[in-house]
Amino acid sequence: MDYIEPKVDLKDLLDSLLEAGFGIEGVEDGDDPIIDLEVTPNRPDCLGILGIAREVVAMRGGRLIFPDTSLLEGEEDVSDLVQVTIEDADGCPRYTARVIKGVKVGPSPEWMARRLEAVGMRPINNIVDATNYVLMELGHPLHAFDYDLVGGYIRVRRARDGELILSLDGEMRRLSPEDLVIADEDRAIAIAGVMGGMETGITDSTKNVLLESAYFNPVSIRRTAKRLGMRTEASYRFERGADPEIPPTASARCAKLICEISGGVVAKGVVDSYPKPQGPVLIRLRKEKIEGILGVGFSDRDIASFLERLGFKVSGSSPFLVEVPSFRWADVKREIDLVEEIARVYGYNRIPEKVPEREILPAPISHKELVLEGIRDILCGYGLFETINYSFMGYNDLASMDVPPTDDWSKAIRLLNPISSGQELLRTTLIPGLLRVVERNMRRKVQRVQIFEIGKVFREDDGISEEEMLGIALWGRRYKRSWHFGEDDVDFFDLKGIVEGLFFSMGISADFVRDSHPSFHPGRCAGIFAFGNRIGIMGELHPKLLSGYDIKGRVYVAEIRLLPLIEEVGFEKHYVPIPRYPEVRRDISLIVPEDLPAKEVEMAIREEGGELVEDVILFDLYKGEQIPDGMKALAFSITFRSPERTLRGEEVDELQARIVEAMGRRFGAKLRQGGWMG
Amino acid sequence: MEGVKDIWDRFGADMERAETEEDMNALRAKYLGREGIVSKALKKLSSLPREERAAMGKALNEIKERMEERIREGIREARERGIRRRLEAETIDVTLPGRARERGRIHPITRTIREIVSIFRGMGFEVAEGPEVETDYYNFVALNTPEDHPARDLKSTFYIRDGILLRTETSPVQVRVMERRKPPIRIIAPGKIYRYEALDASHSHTFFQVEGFMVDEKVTFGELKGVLMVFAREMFGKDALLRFRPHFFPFTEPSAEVDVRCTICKGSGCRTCGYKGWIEILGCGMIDPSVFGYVGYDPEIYRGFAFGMGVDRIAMMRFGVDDIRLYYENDIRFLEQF
Repeated sequence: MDYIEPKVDLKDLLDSLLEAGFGIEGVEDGDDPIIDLEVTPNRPDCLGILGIAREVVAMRGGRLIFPDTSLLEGEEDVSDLVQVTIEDADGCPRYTARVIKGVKVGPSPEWMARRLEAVGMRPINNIVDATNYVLMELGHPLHAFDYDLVGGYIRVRRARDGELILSLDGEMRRLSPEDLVIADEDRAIAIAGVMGGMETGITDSTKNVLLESAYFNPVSIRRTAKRLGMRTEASYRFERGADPEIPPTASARCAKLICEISGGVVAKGVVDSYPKPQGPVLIRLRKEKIEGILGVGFSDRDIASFLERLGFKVSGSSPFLVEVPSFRWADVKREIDLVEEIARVYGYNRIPEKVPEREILPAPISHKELVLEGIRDILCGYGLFETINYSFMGYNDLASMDVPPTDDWSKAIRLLNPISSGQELLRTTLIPGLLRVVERNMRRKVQRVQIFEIGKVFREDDGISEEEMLGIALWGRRYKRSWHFGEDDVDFFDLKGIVEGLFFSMGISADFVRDSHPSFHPGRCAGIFAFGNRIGIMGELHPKLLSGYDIKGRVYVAEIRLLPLIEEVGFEKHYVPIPRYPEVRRDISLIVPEDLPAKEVEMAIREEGGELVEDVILFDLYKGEQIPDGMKALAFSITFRSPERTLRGEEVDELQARIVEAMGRRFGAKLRQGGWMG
Repeated sequence: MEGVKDIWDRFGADMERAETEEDMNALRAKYLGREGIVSKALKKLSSLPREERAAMGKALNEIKERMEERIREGIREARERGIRRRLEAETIDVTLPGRARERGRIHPITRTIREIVSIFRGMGFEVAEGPEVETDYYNFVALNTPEDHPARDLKSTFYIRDGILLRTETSPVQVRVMERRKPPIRIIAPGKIYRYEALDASHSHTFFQVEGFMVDEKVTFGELKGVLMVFAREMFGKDALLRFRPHFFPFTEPSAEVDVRCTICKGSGCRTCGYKGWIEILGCGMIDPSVFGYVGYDPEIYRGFAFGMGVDRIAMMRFGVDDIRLYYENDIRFLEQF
């Protein structure tokens, strides 16, 4: 409130701050309320109370009260006391110095200490506090040296390779030629714009003060601060772009305060080396541009008035010539930046909303969206829940999977900065994430987990790639606890039923072929093939893999590549005429070797039966007393039908006989007792 | 020979005892069958004196008809009785649970994205996607965030190696699309994004955003507001209110953050909105001309707006979920609520 006129109550102040573009993080109420503000990086001019006050005045009107910088100068001329040489003008476009003699170092007055504490700064002594006070007040960092420990020469230069300095925080820093330093004739006495050196810092015995107020190159300061891992109030402000025109004023203000609170006399004048002026900044502003961007027009007078409230100088008429005040040089450089300022002052919420005029037709849904939506809906129909998991996995997950380096799952990408252990890699498969979901639910006593996920996996294999996959996992009871159903757990064929059903709904014909993979149970794993390619894998997970997780019981998992599905599935429907002629159904039961895959027999029946075999369904699998050891009985129901005529009984008989004979020939299959059923 | 009346009485008594359809059929056989009593009596008519024949014949035929009728009726009743009894025996306790055919659920994040996308699709926005592993160029440089710029501090990043990272927002998709196409463009781009942030109730290192942008010869901030208002009304209800505040994004100028008035307390302040009455849901602005520079559009001819919203936050408001971690824990008891 010291800086604006008229005074404003807290609520109005908060409203104005929001309108100006500050985020209100918090408010501590009280006699002297403290507001926690978020200042965006493009507004370094608001990293001080004055800048904020300036914004409030721009939004509400009123007057800004600039702090008093009037000085009573002494007799001695400052140019007799200190000389400044800037060797790197790019790094330091401006450096000013003042000298205050005869100070008495002690604690700061209560009013200053209180204000510093309110904004989170610790009071140290009256000299340092004065510099911090001005930093908070004007937003410009200054530094105070013990004049007698420096001598009369200030050199602003790049550090020598390996040059050392003991910074004020007690750390010995090793510098590089990338770093800008303030030096005396010989050694570095401060890391420019970041932190001063301990050797020349203000102590209780300091009698004379050398006050630095400068402008440093933002990129240079940022690089140095980052490299040294230091972040200070000073570096924060210089990084974002300080005001190159304010150093003398800030210097005067600080000198005034120092004299007031610690005695001392300020030498006459200020040493001001400004080899690289940063302005002026002049921008051409077209009225049409404003209307074109914002969608609302303003009069010349309004435009000028808005900008002038912010401290800009406007001359002429559209296109205007706008002179940007130095404290905004870091942010306002182009015409478009002026448009934003006008919108801000006018008020974003006052700009009328318009639905776009041109004709807008709804956009089509893409093929991929349709396919994925279809997959989700089908799986939900089967009772599965969709999960979304983190994209990370750990070395421990990789170890549990036990895959050789040639397997795709091994080719994991490492993060330079993982968020925690167990999350050092990007996942190469959805399985670890799905297992964690099973684990977590199991621990919470959920009795069945039937889930799926659609998400990306990542791989590095001659380049980084990411691929969208479908993962399905089943664990636990098959059914929810119910008086209808048994207590059975899910098994391989529950998973297969879901995958088959999904493919059927999509019109995809897939083959399941026995496979082996280190992460799966060797006898319960199948590769999934479609469109002539391997598109996935499914099966029961290997107990060794599960031992890496806190999971009891069996887990069934399928992982399928989505890209082939998306590419091959079509949504065109074409009607096929319903059969006109009746079918003949015959059941046959064949005794075959135990390890003969059922699919092979089915395929053989279809092959031998030819066109007249419409369908072959396995309806029973029997191993038991009547069957010799090492054999099993497969019972198939064969549907015979011709699209052209009604089949005669003898025809079908003959065909059956041929089929049975062929099964005998190919597999040594025998017809089971009573194996003909019509 | 028995009198007609006697036959009828006997029949009546038999009918009384008959219960089932079988019984009825037996009775029919007994009386009306080939060897049945009435049939036999009819055959014996010829042995009667002529004057009695007509009357007897008539009477016999009459009772024959009546018997037929009664038997038919009896059968009908027997059937009905049978059905009634069976049905009673089949009574079940209807309060027992059904043989459940439960469906699963789509994840609340997916559901929210579907809803958002559908609203914008209605306004002509097409879906586009981009990679989750991005380059420094697309994630920062082309979005007007050069190296050594403090704006890079705004979003902490997961790095894979120099120049390759996990995208911190969906905005890179803007650049990728604009590079490949010329305006007019209207795109909505949902996707997973990553920020190096510790997990807590309102922050996650992994979450979802939906990016949207529109580029054409004449596009204004007013239209940006208009489009977002349509979205807000469809998403949060007809009385939804939006508030625009100046903010900063490297790739938009002017930039704004947008709050929606809390749907729970209607602005008076409650737990959901942190007692502020408004909840921040998205950032937006007019696309910065330097971004156009990177994709080869002339900023004197083309203009555009862009916006990005956090799906998790919107879902939290929609469903009242108060902890973002719940979305990624996937507890079934959480998932089944949607």
